[in-house]
Amino acid sequence: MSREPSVHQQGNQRRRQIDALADRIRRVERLRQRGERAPGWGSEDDGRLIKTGSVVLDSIFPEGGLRRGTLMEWLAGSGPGGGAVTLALLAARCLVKERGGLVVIDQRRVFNPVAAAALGIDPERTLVVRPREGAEWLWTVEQVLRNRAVGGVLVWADHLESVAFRRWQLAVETSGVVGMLARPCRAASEPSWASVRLLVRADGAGEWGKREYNSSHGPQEREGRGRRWAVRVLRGHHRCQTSGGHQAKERMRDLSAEVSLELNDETGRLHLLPRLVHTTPVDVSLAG
Amino acid sequence: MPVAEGLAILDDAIEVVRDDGREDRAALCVEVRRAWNFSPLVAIPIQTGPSGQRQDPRDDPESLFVNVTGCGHLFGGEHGLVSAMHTAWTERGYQVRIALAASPGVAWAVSHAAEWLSRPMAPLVVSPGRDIDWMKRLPVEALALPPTVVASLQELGLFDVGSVLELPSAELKRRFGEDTLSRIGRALGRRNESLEYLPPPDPIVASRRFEYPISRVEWLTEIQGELVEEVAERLRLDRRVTMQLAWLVKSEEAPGKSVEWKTRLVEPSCRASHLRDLVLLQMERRRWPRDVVAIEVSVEGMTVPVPVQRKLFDFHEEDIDKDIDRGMARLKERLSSRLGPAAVVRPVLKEATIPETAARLEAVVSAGEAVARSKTLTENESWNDRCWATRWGPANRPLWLESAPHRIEVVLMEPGGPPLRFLWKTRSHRVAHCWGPERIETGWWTARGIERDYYQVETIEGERFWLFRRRSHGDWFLHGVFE
Repeated sequence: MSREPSVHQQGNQRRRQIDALADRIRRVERLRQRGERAPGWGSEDDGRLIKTGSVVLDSIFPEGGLRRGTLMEWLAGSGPGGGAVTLALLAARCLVKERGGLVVIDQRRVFNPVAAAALGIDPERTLVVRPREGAEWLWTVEQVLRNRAVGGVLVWADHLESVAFRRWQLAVETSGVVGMLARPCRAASEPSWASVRLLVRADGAGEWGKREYNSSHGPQEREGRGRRWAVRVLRGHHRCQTSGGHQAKERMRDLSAEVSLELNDETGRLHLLPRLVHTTPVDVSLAG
Repeated sequence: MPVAEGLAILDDAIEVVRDDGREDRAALCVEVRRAWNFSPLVAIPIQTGPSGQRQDPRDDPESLFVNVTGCGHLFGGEHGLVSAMHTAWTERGYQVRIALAASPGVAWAVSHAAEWLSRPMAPLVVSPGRDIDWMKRLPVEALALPPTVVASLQELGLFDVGSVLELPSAELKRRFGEDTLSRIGRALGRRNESLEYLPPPDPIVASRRFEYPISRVEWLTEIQGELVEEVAERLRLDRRVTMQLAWLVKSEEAPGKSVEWKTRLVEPSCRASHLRDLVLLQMERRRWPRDVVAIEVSVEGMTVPVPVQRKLFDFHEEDIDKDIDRGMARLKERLSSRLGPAAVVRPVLKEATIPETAARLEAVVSAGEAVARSKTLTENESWNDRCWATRWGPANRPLWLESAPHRIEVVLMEPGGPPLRFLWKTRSHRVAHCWGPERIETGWWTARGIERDYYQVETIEGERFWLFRRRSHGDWFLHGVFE
């Protein structure tokens, strides 16, 4: 048997509700004074680190994942067929789940959603935009990068002026979108506003598979179609923390580590390959 | 208890309002607007008066009759239609009972069945030919007879419609009169019944006619903005939103002909600034005709918005999802307006033999389309579980696929086999590895027949290309690049 709360108890309850509301109003006002948004998918989400879902890919990125509000350049070190965009899309799989999904700016009108789906990109959460080259393309990319509802953007940028690049960087800093730029190898010598620059080269060296062309036997048939890449981080965004736990100013530093990856074409999983530095001759006397 | 007794106990704590049905009918008239989203034929009870004095229960101002003949397919079927109607009202906090049947009498009776039988208030659909089966199970109130007749039937031990129907018609007529017999026929749908439908809402149109032709773009743009303000204001006054504006421009450049286009939205809106912004973006890729003599804009796809109260402090997941959906809708609208609907698309995969037709690109902005938020990939879903192109692994189809394959020059090849060296974009490529052939061909009965042997080749630089040889001619093409 339950009793209705007394008038006194109702009064206490109301007072507590009013106090809680007043506290929330004060918090919102404090946030506004600091120029931040109220909790939600605003300021707290904008600089968040997103794990790609692949331990291998996360190990490549300087911060161990994709940082919201940044641009990443994927430079095709081996030419258009080198597979740099494949690797970028494998990293972008996590962005499909974020916010409103992935937007692909396909001004060349060659994007194949069937192949993207085979890499794990959900077509229902992918928007393909096909502007014309030139001013229309620049406007489109900036509009998409500015929109907070977008999870990630993939854009092919063969030629990119520094002013436009800078506008894109400011756009993602404001919106928290992750921008993936697929660029040609020659862009490595151009100035960049990207936080992370990766040079992806199809790995044609090493003992895996019969890579050497044998002119007497012609092209070699090989089991499996898995691909192998050598990835070098040309620039990485690195956050430092002092011993006091306060976050210091971000600084850019160059990284020269190169890693080898292999994509298993049956499982779709990426594997990190060990790099052989040099072989050490075995001491016969020790072998006993 | 009587009103006097209640007043004696509670004194000023209660307010007594006489029920004359007018306020209820006024509220119903407002809801007619919502019902017009489903059908243009909506009727409401006409007679007014206190509920206790109405002789026909169907005159109570609590029901809407919506003739949905031919409308079901717009909602994916009759069940989809009633479900959408149920959602439209329950989202606004109403408790609503919906029944769909072949006649107004049966629909009215079945919709009230939940009240009489204490059943859940889910929408009900009476299958064709099952009207009498439904009615027989209902109490006599389902016949919409005067209260005195209902009481008399119950005194005689007739509590459900089935037992009433077992009586001879002559006997019913003798005891209760011709009117009762007529009402029973109406309730069972045996008598043709015509309802008085309310006139549909007036179309919203704004236009300007010019005494002298105008060619200056600045003036035309300003006039266009005024027209948008005008229709937005009328939408606001009618408390409606729209999905599409239809433009019609007449000019002396092409007398007798008019230029027409549409401004489409992803989410309905009535905000003048938003509509004007989209129209301006759209005009960046359009050209005004010379010597314009008239401009007209009409509103299409009007609907009544479902009011959603935004929360100031609590940012729950569903609120965030709605914000994201709204943001994406605005982005799609802006991009579609500036670039054209065909430039903002969503891929739809399908089983197709011809690789260039294996995916269809659908414009996200089209009349009547509702872009739903699809379910997201879960953390534990593996890559293989979501491999849409079930036949293809990640290495079998190129990311770069030309809509029209490029003819290439094969410098060296194995007889009947893969190419050894080919030229593409002024570069010579030497093949180190190859996979294939994968034979893709259509049946002889198809209009667009293809017979292709595809090879995936990897050059000595590590680049991969998708080439094919057309079997009928033996020439080679590059169809894709494994970027």
